[in-house]
Amino acid sequence: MRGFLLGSIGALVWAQSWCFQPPTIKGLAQWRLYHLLPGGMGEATARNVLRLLLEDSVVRYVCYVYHVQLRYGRQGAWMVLDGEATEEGAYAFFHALRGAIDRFPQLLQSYVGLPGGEGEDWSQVAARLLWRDTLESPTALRLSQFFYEVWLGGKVQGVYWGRQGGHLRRFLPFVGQDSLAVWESYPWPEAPLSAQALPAQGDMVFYTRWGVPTRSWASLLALWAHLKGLEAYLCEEKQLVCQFFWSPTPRGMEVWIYTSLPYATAQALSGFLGRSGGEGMWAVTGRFQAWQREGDAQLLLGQWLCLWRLGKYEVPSPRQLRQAQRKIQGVFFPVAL
Amino acid sequence: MGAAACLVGIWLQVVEGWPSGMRLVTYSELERQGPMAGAFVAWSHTPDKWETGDFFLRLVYDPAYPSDRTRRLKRWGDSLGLIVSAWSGPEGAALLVEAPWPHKKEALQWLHAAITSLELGDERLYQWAVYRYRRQQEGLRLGQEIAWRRRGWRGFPPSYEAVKAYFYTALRPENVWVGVFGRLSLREKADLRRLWVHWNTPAPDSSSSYTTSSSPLPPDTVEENLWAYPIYGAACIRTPTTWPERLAFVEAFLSWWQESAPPLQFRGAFEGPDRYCFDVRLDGKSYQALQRLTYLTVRDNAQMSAWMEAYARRRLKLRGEPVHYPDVWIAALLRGDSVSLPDTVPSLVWLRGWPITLRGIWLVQELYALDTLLEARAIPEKRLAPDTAAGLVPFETLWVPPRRRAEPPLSTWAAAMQANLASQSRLRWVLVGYYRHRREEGAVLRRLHGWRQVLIKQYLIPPGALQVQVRPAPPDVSPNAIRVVCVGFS
Repeated sequence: MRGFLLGSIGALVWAQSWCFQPPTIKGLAQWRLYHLLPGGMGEATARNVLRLLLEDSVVRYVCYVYHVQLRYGRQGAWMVLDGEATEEGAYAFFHALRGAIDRFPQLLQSYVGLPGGEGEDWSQVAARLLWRDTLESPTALRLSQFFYEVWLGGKVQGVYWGRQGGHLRRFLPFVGQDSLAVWESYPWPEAPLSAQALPAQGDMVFYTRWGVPTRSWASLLALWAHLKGLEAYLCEEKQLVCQFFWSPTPRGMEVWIYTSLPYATAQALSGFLGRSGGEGMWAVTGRFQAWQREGDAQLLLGQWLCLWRLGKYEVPSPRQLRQAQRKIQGVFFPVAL
Repeated sequence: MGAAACLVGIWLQVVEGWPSGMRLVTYSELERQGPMAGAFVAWSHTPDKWETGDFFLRLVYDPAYPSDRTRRLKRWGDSLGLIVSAWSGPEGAALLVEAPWPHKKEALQWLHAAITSLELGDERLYQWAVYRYRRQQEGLRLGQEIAWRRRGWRGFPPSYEAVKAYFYTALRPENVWVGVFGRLSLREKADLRRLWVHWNTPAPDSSSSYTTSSSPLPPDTVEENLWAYPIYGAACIRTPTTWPERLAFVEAFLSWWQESAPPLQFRGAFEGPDRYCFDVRLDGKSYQALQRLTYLTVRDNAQMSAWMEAYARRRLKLRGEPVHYPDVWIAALLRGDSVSLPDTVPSLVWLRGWPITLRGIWLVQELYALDTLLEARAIPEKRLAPDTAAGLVPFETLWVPPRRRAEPPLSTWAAAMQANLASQSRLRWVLVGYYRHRREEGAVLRRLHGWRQVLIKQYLIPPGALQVQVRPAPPDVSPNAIRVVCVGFS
């Protein structure tokens, strides 16, 4: 009897050690947090808010210990924070970020209004020019208003890849709520602003905007194929430019194109716009499937899907694709750097 | 019944292991680790054939080459959703594809078609590849050029005869590996063998294979760099030879570098059995930190867990996207060692540390030393007053010289900076100079560095608080103007 008792206790002890072992590392987690810059302006404010949050000592410690990789910057009219870590790291990071959000008033105490010299990427410079934004340092008051309005006001959205995404909602309860009326508030730059004289020879960015009348999987695929066609046309067929930067909008997509040959690019772009639609739609689905599995495409596609509120993937028929492609509209205008 | 099945199973294993033409490898433990299935065709060559192999890969599949074969391959690949890439290293070369999981089998067929339909006799193909190679050569950057020099490449395309010889020696059936980062059923394996069984290149030469004896690292050379301000380097670091420790070492090394003084640009890959090679652009501080490093070991507990986590993250990436790390998987396969990566590395490994052997080619400009001036005196750290948010007005100015050869009012600037530093000791300023033409850039930079040195030595501004930058002059600013911008905390 005693032996049986000891044996069962031993079995219990063994079983609990089996149950309560620390969780092993299972997978990678990636995420993107993004919010709209009100009116396309206030990049400096958004940057400073992010910088203060990420400079919080706990966040910094967690990022160091868990080797969290972070990158933030402007993407069109959006502010975007991308991250990657192991799942444990992501868990710790969002815990710490939640804490930093709570401690924001204290963090603001150490804020000194200084302009940041970072973000000299061409796409960011062009976006700043387009929305007439500056990197002038905001006051502390402006910062706290912005934080209250955007971060606490539920305007931050998030996409998370990895298992156990639930903690994202637990720690940042405002993320992903449907309170964002992007449709109305998206700051369209009135196009075309003013015909800018093209410089004879020099670096320039072309802002192109593509829209679809309805949001569906068919239009998403058609638009994607159309824009990939644009890239192939400019980069491979004409061998003009190969630097593109995409930023999704609620009604379509913006593509920024960097070029050092403005005249030829403008001509090629108008040539592309003049082509009749509905051609070359073969094998779109296959190529799209491959593209959506690329690392950086995942972040973009996640954001795009959330913006368009598309549900489960449904393979559109070729006829739907052709119809959708015929309805794609595009404009472009140059932005001198 | 069971025994019969067992016998059949053994027979199938034997049949599968039979050396018939190309060799097949599957990484069954990687099944469904990542979002895409990866497949490859790899072949080994001797280290001196690396350049030829790299050139040969352009001939095998270049989607821009206008021919019927390429067009058909591209169309087929697009319908499957393939992403094609190539890799070459001292051990061999490989053509890799990524495909959505359902198209794994078709991806293998595509690879077969790409290799077997190669028309080396097409007289325009070689010309085209040479043309592309020259075009690429024209646009070479400094960094890439020394990376080529480190490998001993001269920058001439290999002759047609060399390429032909390479094709006939390296792509002999017993030299070719076909592999999948995943699992294949026996039926699929048999199909694949049947597909490749007719692949046969004549063998005028004896087989070549990678020898594992590694040559010693070449000596470190430092040359003067007249063209660009930051330092360019192409270097190799010696790593341990067992895989988990190798990966642990590289992750620790990169974490350490990132933490102490990060380089400006970095690209690295494993090379050979015991090397990690990288080409890099870096500033003086980073260069000095690298040159002073003789032994790498953990400093404290936090750093150890950071390194462990870095290892875990890299391991997950390696297993999740094996196609993006051919320098690990395929190179190891061709060398004949196996990659086993446990979840964690015992902490003893980190605690023991590693000696550092680093050799490379460095292009250095003498001005780099100015980046590395040590702090002249210790600044007493002051507590921030709670109202700094509104209180501080940082010193900034735009100075336009009243006449040619005028010196800027350094004493006034220094006084203003010191006043700012008294209330906020971690401020940083950038002296911005402008140039109209690219050729003036160096002179402007040198002048700015001179003033920075005066501010540091004579007026005791901490070196960490001063940087210099040169920019093309905007139209509304005189090219002789100097702007002092405050850029916040260091």
